[in-house]
Amino acid sequence: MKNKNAYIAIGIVCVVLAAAITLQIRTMQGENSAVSQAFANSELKDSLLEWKEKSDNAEADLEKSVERLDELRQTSTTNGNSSEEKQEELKKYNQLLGITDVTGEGITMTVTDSTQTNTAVDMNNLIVHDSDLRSLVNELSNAGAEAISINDERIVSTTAITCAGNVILINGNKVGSPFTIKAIGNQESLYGAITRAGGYTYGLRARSIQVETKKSDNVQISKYTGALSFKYAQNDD
Amino acid sequence: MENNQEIKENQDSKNIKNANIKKKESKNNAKKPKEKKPINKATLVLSIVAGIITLVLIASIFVQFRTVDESKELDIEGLRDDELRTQIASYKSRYEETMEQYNANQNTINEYETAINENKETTELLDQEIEQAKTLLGLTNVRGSGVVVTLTDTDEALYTYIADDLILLINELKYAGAEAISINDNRIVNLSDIVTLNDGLIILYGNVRLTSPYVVKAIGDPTYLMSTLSIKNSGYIDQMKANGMAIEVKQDNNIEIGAYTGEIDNRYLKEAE
Repeated sequence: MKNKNAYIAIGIVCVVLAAAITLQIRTMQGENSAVSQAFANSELKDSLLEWKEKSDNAEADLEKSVERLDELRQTSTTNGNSSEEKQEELKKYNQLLGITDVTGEGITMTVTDSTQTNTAVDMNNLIVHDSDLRSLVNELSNAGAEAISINDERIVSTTAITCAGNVILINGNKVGSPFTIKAIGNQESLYGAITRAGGYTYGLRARSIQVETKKSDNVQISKYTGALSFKYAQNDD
Repeated sequence: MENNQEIKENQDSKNIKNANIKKKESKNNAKKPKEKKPINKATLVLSIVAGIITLVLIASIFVQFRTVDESKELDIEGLRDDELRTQIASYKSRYEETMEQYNANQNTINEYETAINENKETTELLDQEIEQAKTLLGLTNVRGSGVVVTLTDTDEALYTYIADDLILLINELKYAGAEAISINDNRIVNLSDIVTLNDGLIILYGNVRLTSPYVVKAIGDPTYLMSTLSIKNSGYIDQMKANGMAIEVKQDNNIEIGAYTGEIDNRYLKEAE
């Protein structure tokens, strides 16, 4: 009798197992399920993970080389005031070029696509366009911003803000709503320029796009991670 | 992740139970052999089979969860093929750019190291770096190949050129890889602004007043600059022409662009810790 009970138990386990496996396979065959996709394009995903890792490693290497360079500059120029001044000068230029992390007083804005679903309104008015971001950067620059970033993409001298289809690209990287725009500079001028009556954000609000602007004494803007170099422009004395 | 842990814990406790059951069985086994041997053998086989099946099941469930989890971590779980390809391309270009900068840094590091090893003066190297930074900032005169775009206000045009047209043009030129840009011989630098006053009658760049014709010079790959501006319909030239605006673009192999003459200051910038 004991034997019989055991066989029944095994039988039940087998049935449950079979059912589970069938269910699993059925789910995977469902065309739109996330699991099926996870398996279908796993090769591309592997490649994506691989390139992400490569790029992350390269950034870590770059970070180290920057530190090493700083060290070398210091050890090699410990003698004399003139070299100290020069180091300061270089630091200033690198900050302005956008290749170092910086902090300072300024403002942080959040610009978000409209949530309105009224179909009578032109959809184009409800979303934030690349031209809107260019205009905001222009306004902030006009108000004396010394560093600007949008969704952590630092605005540098070679930065283009473009759109490809329905995607906005900054420095060749995809950004999307909500846009967090940070600017370092005179807090009052920046805030005034952005919130003034008839200013650019007025127009955005009229399109029911959400704009939030906050002053901050400690805005942190990270550096540009790409390369800055000239291939065509030569110094001309 | 939390789910996963709970499951893990559940399974751990199951395992412990299993182990306990097995212990009990083996105790029973140890006692029973004296009485009935054949039945015990069958039970043993059965429990081993059941154990193996359970193990396989648990293992497969783990694999499944791990796979889904890994995709979630990068937020790529539900991405379509084309989206994946775009992301791969973006990581690739990020990698290449980073490596380019890294290699440049390595070169400078080497120069410093040789200089230090040979007890040479290193202020020269610092000067070099400063000079390069100044060049990139637009504080030096530069020369090179590129394009010259001339925008002229005419009576036939729908409107007179406004600041936005110039901002768009600069953006297009940067997108096409322009390294140095000037408007009416005023160097454009990072975070420079162009605004329209009095409904487009006056365009100001910094404190400089700009008027038509606007001569925009850009140094970079002339072919690439040219082809970007002349993309059919959506390109800058066709966009302007659609409004009847007068625009002329020509390639030039020897463009001179002067240094920025204004002040650029970092009064509010502090180095991040």
